[in-house]
Amino acid sequence: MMPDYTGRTTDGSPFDLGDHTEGTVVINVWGSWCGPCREEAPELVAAARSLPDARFLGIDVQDSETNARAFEKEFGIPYPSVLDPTSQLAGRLTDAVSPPVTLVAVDGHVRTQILGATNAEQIACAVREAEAA
Amino acid sequence: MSATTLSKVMLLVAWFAYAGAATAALMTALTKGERWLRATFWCAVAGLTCHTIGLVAITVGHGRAPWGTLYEWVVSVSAVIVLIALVLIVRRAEFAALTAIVYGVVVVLMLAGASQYREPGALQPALQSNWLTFHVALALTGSALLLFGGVVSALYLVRVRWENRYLTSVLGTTGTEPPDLAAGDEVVPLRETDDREGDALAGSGGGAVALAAPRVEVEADTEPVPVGTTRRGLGGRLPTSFALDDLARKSFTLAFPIYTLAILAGAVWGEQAWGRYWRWDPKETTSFIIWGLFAAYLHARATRGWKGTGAAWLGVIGAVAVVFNSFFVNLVIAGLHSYAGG
Amino acid sequence: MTDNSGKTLTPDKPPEKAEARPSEPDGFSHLPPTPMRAMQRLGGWRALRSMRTAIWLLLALVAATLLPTLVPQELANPQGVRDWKEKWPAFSDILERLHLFDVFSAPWFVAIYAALLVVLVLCLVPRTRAFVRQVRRAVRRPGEGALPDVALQAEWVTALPAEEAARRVVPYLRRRRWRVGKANAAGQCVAEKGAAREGGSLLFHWSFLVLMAGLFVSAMFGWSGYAVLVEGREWVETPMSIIQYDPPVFFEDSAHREFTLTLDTFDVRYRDDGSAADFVASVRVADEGETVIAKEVRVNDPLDYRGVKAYLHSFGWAARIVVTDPVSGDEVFDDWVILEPGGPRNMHTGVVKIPSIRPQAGLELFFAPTGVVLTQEQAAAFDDELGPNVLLAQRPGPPTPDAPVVYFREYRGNLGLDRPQPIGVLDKSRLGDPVDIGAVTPGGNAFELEDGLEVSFRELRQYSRLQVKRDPGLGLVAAAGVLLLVGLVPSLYLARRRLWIWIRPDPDGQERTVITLGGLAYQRKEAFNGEFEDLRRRLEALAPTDADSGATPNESREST
Repeated sequence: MMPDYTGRTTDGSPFDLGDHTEGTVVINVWGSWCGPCREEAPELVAAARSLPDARFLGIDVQDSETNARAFEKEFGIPYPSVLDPTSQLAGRLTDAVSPPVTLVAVDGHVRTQILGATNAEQIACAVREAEAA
Repeated sequence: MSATTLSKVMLLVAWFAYAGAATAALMTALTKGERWLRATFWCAVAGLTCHTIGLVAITVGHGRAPWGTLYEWVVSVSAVIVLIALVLIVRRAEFAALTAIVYGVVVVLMLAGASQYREPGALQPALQSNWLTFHVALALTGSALLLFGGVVSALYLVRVRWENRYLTSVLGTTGTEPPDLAAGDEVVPLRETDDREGDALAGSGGGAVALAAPRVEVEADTEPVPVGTTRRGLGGRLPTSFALDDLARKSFTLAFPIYTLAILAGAVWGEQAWGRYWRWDPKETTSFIIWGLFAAYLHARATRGWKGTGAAWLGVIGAVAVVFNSFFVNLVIAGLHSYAGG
Repeated sequence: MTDNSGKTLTPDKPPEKAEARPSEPDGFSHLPPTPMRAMQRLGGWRALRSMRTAIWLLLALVAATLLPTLVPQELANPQGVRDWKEKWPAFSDILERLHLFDVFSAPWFVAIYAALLVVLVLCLVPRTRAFVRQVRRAVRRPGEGALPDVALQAEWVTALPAEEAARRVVPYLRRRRWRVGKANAAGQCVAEKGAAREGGSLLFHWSFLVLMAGLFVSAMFGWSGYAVLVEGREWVETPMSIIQYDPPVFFEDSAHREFTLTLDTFDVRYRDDGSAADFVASVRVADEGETVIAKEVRVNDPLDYRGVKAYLHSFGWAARIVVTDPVSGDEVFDDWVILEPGGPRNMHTGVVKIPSIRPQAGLELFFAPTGVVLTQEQAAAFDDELGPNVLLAQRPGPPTPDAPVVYFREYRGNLGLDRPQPIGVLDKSRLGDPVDIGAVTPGGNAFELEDGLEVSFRELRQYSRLQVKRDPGLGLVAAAGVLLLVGLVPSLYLARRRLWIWIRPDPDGQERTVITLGGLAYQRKEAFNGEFEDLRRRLEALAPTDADSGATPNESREST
């Protein structure tokens, strides 16, 4: 079950994890300082376009707001990311030691987890798996 | 006169007194003169008095225990060795040759320490801890006892060789392990298969049998070699192998718990200061080696095929490891204990 | 052994005890055959359990431990390992294959200590069983017949009746901490002392298994790493916020507490030579939004909260650096940069990476808490990587931030983030030469670089690096340490002794009682000679020879 969490997104708007308990949500944990996150960023952008039924959400960990925005701008990330500078939220969702991590949640339950840099195909696959489970 | 100057002067006087004690003890061994024996004793007492004043001067001068540098550490270890010798052997004529050698070792040790003299600095915050003081004091006492026992064990090996030669030439038999020589005058001979004689810490093989139905082994308590006949060379002037073995056992059995506690106290300090009770830094590693060697020594004393010379060799190797730990590890290998190098 | 009484104290076989062994001094062998004992008869089993095997294994372990003092270890000294690999690549390759750069987790090292533990357990199980049996049972009644022929013996006659003599002797022995057994029909009994020696020895040896259990628990459920806290900023205990994280093998889920640490202030007191005399981190712990602990963490005084400990490891300065790209008008970098001590000219160094602009930019920072301006000659005298044109150095002495200044060099090109790299290190292999240099002070004006980037130094704070860990096996390890010592002392200094006491009416005289003592020491026999003599004198004083009768002289004697 998804934990309760409220915060702020990189563009300054309020964020509530409770708004993400319905349908399929692809959650990507990232940081602007993280090399593999840069590597997978274009793939996530592609996946977000090719999976219109899934909502995408980023969790930006151990990062500053300015650096995060510069990253989003560089790659043209189309979905919002919540600021998580202390990685508290990421810690509640995954045991992973460092980003990137990609999770697929269906109706508020995290069903699959991809550790390390991923690609659009893998994400699509994980979404199908999660929805079938 | 500053405290530092006072300590240097006092330690120099102590050094000469020990050299005098070593010489007097040597003369005792050669001439058996009562006067030389008394001279040894008073030289040793005078030396230790100056030594103590020197250490107190360091403590007062720096406002901390006298083991902040390698030089101070060696000087403190020497003081403990002198004290042990004073209590156990200095007043006994039959130990004169041993006394001479032990004081000779102290003289060399202090010289080696002085060669590493550095002006001491202030202690890092991490080193300001009661556990640390406790740890070092114990390590120091333990090291001194182990060094003393190591010297005794080495001389035991010399003596055993002499006794064996002597027995072959004079009695026409070969002594195997001298402490066993007088055995057999008591109850039950040791069975070939029984490993355990129970004179040491452990007993593993055959332990259950030994507990329920103890097999009694006899330690020789009489001298295997007639004394005062043909004595020649170092071996002939040393105390009997039995006396040396007993002395080594006493110092090692006393040293072992002290050294164990020193390691444990160091672990407690490490846990507080660095969050790690053990991290195999070079000093810890060597301490573990020393501890393992003396654990093996205590077990070997009770094991057939090991006791006697085998155990004594372990004691000697262990003492060499103590010297290695004091000098080589501090000077050559850096680690968390490297501050002790100066 | 001569026996000059002729009528007593001759070795005698205990009457018809099936399992008794005639050659034993007390005839007390009563261990029933067990599978363990049956297996003991097999040669290999015996060899495995022998002390000799244990000694050789212990020495092998010691020899193996010697290697890390000669070869640098990956864990303790990674730089040393790299140096060796560079200097002697072929030799290092062999060492690598033999796991000599990481001896303590090498399979052969594990095999040695595992074998030692196996031998230890094989020895301890039967010994412990026998010990427990011995302690739980009262001291056995001796078989009737003569007392065994032991080294120390004494005999005297007392005018007291036998019952009265026993009433005096037995309680006295009990007071002297002898375990006294029941007397048999002939009036013989046995007393024992020093069982704690074996108990201590067993405790000492078992404590190593407790120690291993503690280490196992720590490895399975414990974790460790570092937390870097900048003054005034929060840090939450989760895996992603721990640097150099060494995770538990199991139960990662339940291992973290998610409390919040805040470093309120960090205070350092310096000595004149610049070294730190004392430093204190004022830390606040908040859990579920409420402050639960406010503590001053010092170097020997860690923070301990819900099983997680935080130790003060190191400290330094953090600079908030902001970089603006005037082309877009956007800030492209704004973060706290950790400045590590140990740079050239006593300065602290840090790195800024700006991957989002093209070409990518990297800044190398050199921070002086109290910067001094040098002449070109002075700068050249340093002969370091900064060269004679950088006229800045840290003033010698205490590094109080009296004139903080960050000097920086800019690189453009490819930061190489597609390859793993530490956060505080700039990979210069695909970056050009430093294109521009500048200096900024906290709160001061931005420095405009030739390529247009503006660099400013917003604020200076202290940071503290804490070692954080959870070590659930620590209690077991500490218990093992205590047990080890508690067991060691009696096992080294106590000695087992056994006493035979025979109190019986004198067959030759009327109303008189003969008391016979036999003593046996299992260890330190010499010392027992004196103890036995002392005991005899005291018992004789309790049950004295009737001086009036004059018929029987004191017959006490000893043989050695």
